[in-house]
Amino acid sequence: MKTTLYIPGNSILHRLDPRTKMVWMVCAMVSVFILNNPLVPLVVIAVLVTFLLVAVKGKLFENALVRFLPIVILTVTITHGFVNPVGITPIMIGTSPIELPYFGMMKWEGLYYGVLLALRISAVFFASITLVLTTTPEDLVSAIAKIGIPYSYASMFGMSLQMIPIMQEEARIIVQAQRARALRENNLKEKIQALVPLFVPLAVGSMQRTETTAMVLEARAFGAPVKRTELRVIKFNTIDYVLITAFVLFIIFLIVLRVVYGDLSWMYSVRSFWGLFWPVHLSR
Amino acid sequence: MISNNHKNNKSQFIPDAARTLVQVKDLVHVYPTGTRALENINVSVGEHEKLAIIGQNGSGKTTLVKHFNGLLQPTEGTILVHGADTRKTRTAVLAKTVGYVFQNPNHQLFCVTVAEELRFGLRNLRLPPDEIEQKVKETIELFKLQPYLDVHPYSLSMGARKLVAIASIFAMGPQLMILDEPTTGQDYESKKILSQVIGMMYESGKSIVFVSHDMSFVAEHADRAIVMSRAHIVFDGSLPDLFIRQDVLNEADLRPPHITQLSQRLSDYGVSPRVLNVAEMVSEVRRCLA
Amino acid sequence: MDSQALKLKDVTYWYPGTEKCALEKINLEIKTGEFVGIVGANGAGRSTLCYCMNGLVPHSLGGKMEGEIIVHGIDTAKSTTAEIAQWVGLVFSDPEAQLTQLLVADEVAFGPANLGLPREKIAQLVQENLKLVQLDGLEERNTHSLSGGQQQRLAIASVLAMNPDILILDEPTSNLDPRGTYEVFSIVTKLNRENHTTVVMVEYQVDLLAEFADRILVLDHGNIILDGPPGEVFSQVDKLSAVGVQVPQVTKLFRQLDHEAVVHVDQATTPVTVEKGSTELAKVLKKTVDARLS
Repeated sequence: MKTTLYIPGNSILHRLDPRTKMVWMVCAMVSVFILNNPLVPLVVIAVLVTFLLVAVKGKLFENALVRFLPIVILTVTITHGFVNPVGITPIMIGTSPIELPYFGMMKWEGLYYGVLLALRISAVFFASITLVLTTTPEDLVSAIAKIGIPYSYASMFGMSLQMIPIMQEEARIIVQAQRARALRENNLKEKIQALVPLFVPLAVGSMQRTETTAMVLEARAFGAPVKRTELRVIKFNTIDYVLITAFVLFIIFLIVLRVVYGDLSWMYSVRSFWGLFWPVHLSR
Repeated sequence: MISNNHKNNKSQFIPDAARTLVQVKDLVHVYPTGTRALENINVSVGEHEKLAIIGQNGSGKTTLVKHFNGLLQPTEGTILVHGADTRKTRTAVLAKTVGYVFQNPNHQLFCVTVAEELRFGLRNLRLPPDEIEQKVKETIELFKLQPYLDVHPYSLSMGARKLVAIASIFAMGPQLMILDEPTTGQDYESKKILSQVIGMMYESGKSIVFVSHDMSFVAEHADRAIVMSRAHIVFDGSLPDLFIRQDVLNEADLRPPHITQLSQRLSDYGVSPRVLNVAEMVSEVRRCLA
Repeated sequence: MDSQALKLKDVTYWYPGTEKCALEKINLEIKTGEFVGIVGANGAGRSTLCYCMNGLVPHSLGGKMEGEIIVHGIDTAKSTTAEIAQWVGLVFSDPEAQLTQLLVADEVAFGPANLGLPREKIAQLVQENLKLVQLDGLEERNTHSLSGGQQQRLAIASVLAMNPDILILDEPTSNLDPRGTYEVFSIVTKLNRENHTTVVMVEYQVDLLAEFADRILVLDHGNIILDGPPGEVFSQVDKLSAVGVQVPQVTKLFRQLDHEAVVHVDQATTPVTVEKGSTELAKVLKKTVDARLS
């Protein structure tokens, strides 16, 4: 069973210091919110996805979260298209607007906002999975400890990862054990009722296991009053410095743009699908 | 004993359909990961049998028994429970015929009292309330659970918890009781009670299948053993026959109970190598010295 | 160091919020290199006794303790669990609950790293101890992908990496299949015989314990009621049955034969193993066969 999202490999991303990837993650999050312009997240996504495809190839699309992303994008875009109060100009197909009962008409401004938000979410998402897909959980724990978070908290993160497959297996067994007692799960009401016989044993089981694990940790001198030996040496290489500098420069560039030209939004002039991603009316 | 043929280790023998509870035909099970957990399994469980399924972890024994009540579906082949195909019958329905007690009672118990625990399965079967109470009452008496009725199952000892788990399945009235690793975590006293309960259930006409590592317990209670190794059935026959089959024992990495090992070492002196328990060994020694 | 590995003096212990003590006036001395088996019914205090030996009682579990526990010449009450961990290693019964790390090598390194040992030393300890439990070559494997028996051996390697003199195992085989059980027993026996590690093991499978242990302690309601070599202890069939302790099949057989006056066996020299039992019975049976021939 797969414990973590980590996909083994030896690409640039895999060899980067996990802290570099953390900096990337933070930079990506900050950068997409500096301007109200969809091109920024598009560029960030393009860069990250390129790196990811080199690193893990087609396996990127086997990830359940990646597969789920289009649904998030569609939901966010469409919802904002219909309901965001910034919307004023209805989208017309021929002579008729796109209209839903109760929600009303889809508007260009709302759609622009929805697209922008969906792209920001995607950019942040790809930045985050760059870290988890290409960093072993052990390195991640070391990195978390290294950026100043106490080791006991960092290792808690590792230990919770440890619990996932055990709990999954346990949940599977409990479901079977209750089905063998003719557990009824035919309709929604029964399915909700069925949660009690599934949840109680799972909770009690994990509490008991945690008690043992707590004693195990004590017996292994966890928290001993000496400086803990760091097992994994993680350090910055040239490539780390180059990539961090690149991202920081990118952010500075965006900030300058913001100060000089404003938020570079063309929300109120969008009138076509491509106009959502490129200021068509301005280049004309 | 049932009409099952014990001389045939390969178990291609198909018993009298009327007396067959579970019939497994050409079963193959492949896990989603691609692991082939069961290969070409043909076996049947008759009425009023005491059958032990033994083998190391990962040999496929639990996977096999989980097909008996539809918890797992075959990749290939068919399983008939009283003639009904498990693919077409839901586990909730099969539960009336096949009871499955999981290894760890904590995976099963969740109610606030022992009595509620006994009612749970019966309610799921949609029985009328007076019938439920009647069955609960019977089960309490048979399992001698009176002292625990209003106790929270989690505050019981491991042995009592196991007993409640078995009782809650038994109450549903299945004809076949599957016990997965019944002796795990049980002390001597609990094992003795477990033995009595197995005896009681067999007396009341049930078939009992136990999946177990505990060789002396198996030797004490089973009339027939199925040995699994690497997804295959490598032996199907009586226990004394099994314990002299060194090839099977080696293949499955099993050792006979100490008392059987002792009898085998003394076969030069006329002691039968087919001894299964201490009482039998005592009479063997008596016989040889007479 | 003298030959005494561990000493309990008048130890009484109450779990937090309980009025009945879990252990009552326990006096016990264990010598270096001994293999001590602990048997008793559920709730007799076997696990609690184990927790006393590595400082979990009273340091982590709280409650109230009277008496004195001396490990490595030091009173555990005046030490910490982390410090005691270097002298006493404790292995639990649930293999999965003992996994703290994702990779096999990291699991072994965890204890020594907590003690702040140098990195090179830790690497060496990982190598040595994985080899000892025959898990070398699996360093980079995920701890979950191991079998129960392998996980239990990993737990043993992980505590051994802290270089304890005493290894305590609390029902180490109760979640294992026969193969896993033999793996654990053979590793523990090897450690005891070749490295002279002191072993204390709580175990249900008395047939195996009888074969490997030098000394058996029987616990009942927090008291040690029997203490001696396996033959001497296990031959007291009635007493053991009364406190819910199983007797090895071989021992049971000989006591039964003696009781029925078929074969006379001295209480103290009752065989407990198949090996010894078959030799004894062969002698008796041979006489009969010889007599019949002549």
